[in-house]
Amino acid sequence: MHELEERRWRFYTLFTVIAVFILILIFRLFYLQVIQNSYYSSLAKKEHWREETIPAQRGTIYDTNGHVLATSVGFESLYAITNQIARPEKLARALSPVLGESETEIAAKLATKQNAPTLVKAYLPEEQADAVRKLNLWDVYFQPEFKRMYPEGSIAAQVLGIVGLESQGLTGIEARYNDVLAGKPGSLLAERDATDDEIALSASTYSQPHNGGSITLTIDRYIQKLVEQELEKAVGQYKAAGGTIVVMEPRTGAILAMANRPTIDFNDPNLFAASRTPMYKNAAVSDAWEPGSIFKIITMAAGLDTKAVTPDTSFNNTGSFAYGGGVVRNVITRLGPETMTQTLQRSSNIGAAFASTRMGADAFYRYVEAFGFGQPTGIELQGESPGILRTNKTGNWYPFDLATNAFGQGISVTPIQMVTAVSAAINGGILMKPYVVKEVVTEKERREYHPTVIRQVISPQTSKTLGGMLVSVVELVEGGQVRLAKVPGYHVGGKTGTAEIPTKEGYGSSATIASFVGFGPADDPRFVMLVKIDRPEASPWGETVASPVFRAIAEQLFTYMKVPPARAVTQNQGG
Amino acid sequence: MSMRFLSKAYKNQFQGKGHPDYALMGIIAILLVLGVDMVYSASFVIAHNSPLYHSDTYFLVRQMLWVGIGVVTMLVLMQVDYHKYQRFTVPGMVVIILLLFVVIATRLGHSAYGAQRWLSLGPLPAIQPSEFAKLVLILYLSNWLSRRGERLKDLSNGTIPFAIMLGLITGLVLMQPDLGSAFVIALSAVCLFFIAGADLKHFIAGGIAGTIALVMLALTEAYRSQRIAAFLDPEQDPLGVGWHIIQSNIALGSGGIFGLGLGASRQKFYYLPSAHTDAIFAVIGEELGLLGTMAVIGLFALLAYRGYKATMKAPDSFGMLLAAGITSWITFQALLNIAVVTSTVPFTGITLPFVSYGGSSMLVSFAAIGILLNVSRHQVGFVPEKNRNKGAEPAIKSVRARSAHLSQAE
Repeated sequence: MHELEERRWRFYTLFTVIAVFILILIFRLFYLQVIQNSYYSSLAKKEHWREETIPAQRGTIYDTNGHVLATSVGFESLYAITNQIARPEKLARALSPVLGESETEIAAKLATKQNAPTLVKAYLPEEQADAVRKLNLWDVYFQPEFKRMYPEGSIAAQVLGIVGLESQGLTGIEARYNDVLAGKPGSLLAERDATDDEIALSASTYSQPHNGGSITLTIDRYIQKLVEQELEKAVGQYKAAGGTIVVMEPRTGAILAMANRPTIDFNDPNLFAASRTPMYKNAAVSDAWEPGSIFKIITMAAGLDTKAVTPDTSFNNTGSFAYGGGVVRNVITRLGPETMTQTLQRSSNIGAAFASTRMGADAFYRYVEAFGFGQPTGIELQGESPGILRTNKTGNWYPFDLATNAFGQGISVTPIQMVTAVSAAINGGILMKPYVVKEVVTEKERREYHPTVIRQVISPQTSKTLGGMLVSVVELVEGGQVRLAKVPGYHVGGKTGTAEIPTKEGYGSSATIASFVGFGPADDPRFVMLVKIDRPEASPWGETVASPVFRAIAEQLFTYMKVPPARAVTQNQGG
Repeated sequence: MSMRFLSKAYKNQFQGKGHPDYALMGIIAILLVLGVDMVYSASFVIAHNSPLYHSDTYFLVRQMLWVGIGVVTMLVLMQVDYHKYQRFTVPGMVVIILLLFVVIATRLGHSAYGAQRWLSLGPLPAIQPSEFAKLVLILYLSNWLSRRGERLKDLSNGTIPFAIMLGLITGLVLMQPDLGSAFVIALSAVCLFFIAGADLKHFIAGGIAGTIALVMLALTEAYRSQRIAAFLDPEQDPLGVGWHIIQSNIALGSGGIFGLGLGASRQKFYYLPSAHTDAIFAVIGEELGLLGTMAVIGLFALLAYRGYKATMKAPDSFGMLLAAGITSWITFQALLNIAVVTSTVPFTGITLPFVSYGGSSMLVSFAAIGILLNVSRHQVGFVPEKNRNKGAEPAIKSVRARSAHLSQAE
């Protein structure tokens, strides 16, 4: 009996233990499933419902004739969550022959043990992606991605601009027109499993991506390539630090080509490195420099239009010209009488100062401003500089500045300002707004951009006279020496510039910026071109450095633009 | 003693030919239906997507196959007089110890989840000796304890040999390492020892020693202390050791009272590790809600009730201890699994009997229930014993126990 009672007691103890255990579990389950239900439901929702962005295809940028300069192509990129790979070596062995990379190379990428998507290989061609799919691998997955492609190479690089890794425009047209080009990404809100695949248990919300619009530029890929090529050659040949060439259609203000050196390569793997960022900017619009003698075109245009001078107005060059507390001298001075035409031909600082002082500060600066200097041109390119212009109506201006500004010192201009102003000077006197975007096409609309007249700066007659003077500058033969800008068979006009680079101490350093701005053909100009070579070491002069570049490009432009050679010009080079 | 006075049914009970506990069979049947269903629901995603399995029904088919084998095993063992096992308990123990050694020591053991738990023998499906060790140890201890009698309360004759035997088996299982199985084995054995009449002072001392050993085990092994840290604060490493705790809580918690519906678990889509094996209870909670989880707990409570009822009516010590051991094992394994999944206790890998996917576990559980059912066919319970003391009935229990005792030991 005692044994039996004890046994009963022991059983009941065991039952009690089990009952308590069961009760604890019931309480626990009640707590989790009833009291905490809404908390865990929201946690589950947060975990299962994920939104996936469906990238929109970025729009295409065309040249003026519809050739693709930049476009986005869809690829599939191969990713892996590397800390979930069971056997990285085996996976690497399987992928190696398909991806065309060595096993060790792939294994290194797979060995990172990341709990996040890790790129195995970007932008696989379709056949390669299909080959990977055929392997039926469990540990890797594809992600559709767009890659920016440049069929013409990295031409007009600073005009087009850079696209960032998230497909966003960072500079140039890509940045300025990012809203148009980027499009609107779609999204897919769906319940997903832990490997990010959709679960078909509930309806998902899908919004379709809207692909980006396209942009047509005024840039002509042929001219652009020609310009890039000649600029590259010149920078190398004259051991220059860099350079800029801008080609404009003077009647419309359309930019036909715009190139800078140093430049970027879109396929450069280190494109986003800090060392590359200084080359992102478009120096043609962002860098102002003291133009030097090419600015005499503007001074002469103002002088002629105010009738302060005529091409034949003569003065006695005494080797120096004192004005407003300063003295102007020429680099090489020919003493004696000098006409205004000769001022341009000889690039006489004294002659230019004579003209500007003769018309007076009010008139001179009225024209300088009317030509667009001292303010941005408003071209659709990023980072445009207004240049530096001080007039008798602004502060920090001295009467002597009127004399020096006349030959391009003490004033800073951008290449785009210079080209635009010279276009106005020779196209009949009309300042056109420079533009580089010809057409924007989006899903909703098609916008065309037409040439915009800003103002009549000088009279058509003045423009014609000035054009003739500038042709005579190029066609002047001195001591049997033909000017280097002269294009055989054609009349072209233009002016050289050799600007000393001012330092804190003044104009003492030997570094120069050599330039040439010219146009052709003389009777009906189809292009205005500025060639600017920075710090050429082989020779400091605009005539020896920039003029040959102008000639080389102009020569081919005439052929490309099908401009017939001028009659009788071949025999009469002296003009 | 004449049997003429006994009813036919009673005679059958006496000869071990009474009807088995149909209620217990019913409970098992319901658990199986639920289990097979949930295994399919929890596994078809993995089975469908993984190139290893090729078919949605990969796990379902295998589970049903194991259930079939298990049911046959149960029905056969139900017919086998449990006394017949007595003479095999010692050789069985020797074999299982060897197998456990083999798993640890040889390359036959193939590693899964960082542990060596499986044993591959030629073309046969890989088996888990630790699962078989549970049943073999219960058979052995039931036999051994039933023969000790009063010597059980003796330190050197009872407690120490028991502790050595238990230590040996759990130690070998722990070395695989399979903490979950070791814990279930130890718990079942301790229950047996307690029921058999262990000395209370020894028992409490042993309990304290065992707890200390458990703490030491948890603290010395890095992955175990990590699991305990994760149990205390799963958010500390939500993507690492805390992951399965958070995910099974989400599964259970989002299920609510009525569940998301059969097949509608989201957590089985790779969120919940071992969804069709150790964590199947979480999928039940997610799909069937509190109603489902309570039903499962209720079914195991009923199983325990029927098992202990058979225990208390067993005609002899061996039968009683065998039934108590089997019932305690199945009950505690189920409750431990639920405790782990509900993060009531720190994580350890352990299956939910008759519900989780798994061949060895399923087969051994069926075998154990078959034996338990056979014990239930021998029911006499406490009433005849009382009668014996009143002198009205022969001491059936003691007769059988004695005869068994005599036939083997002497």
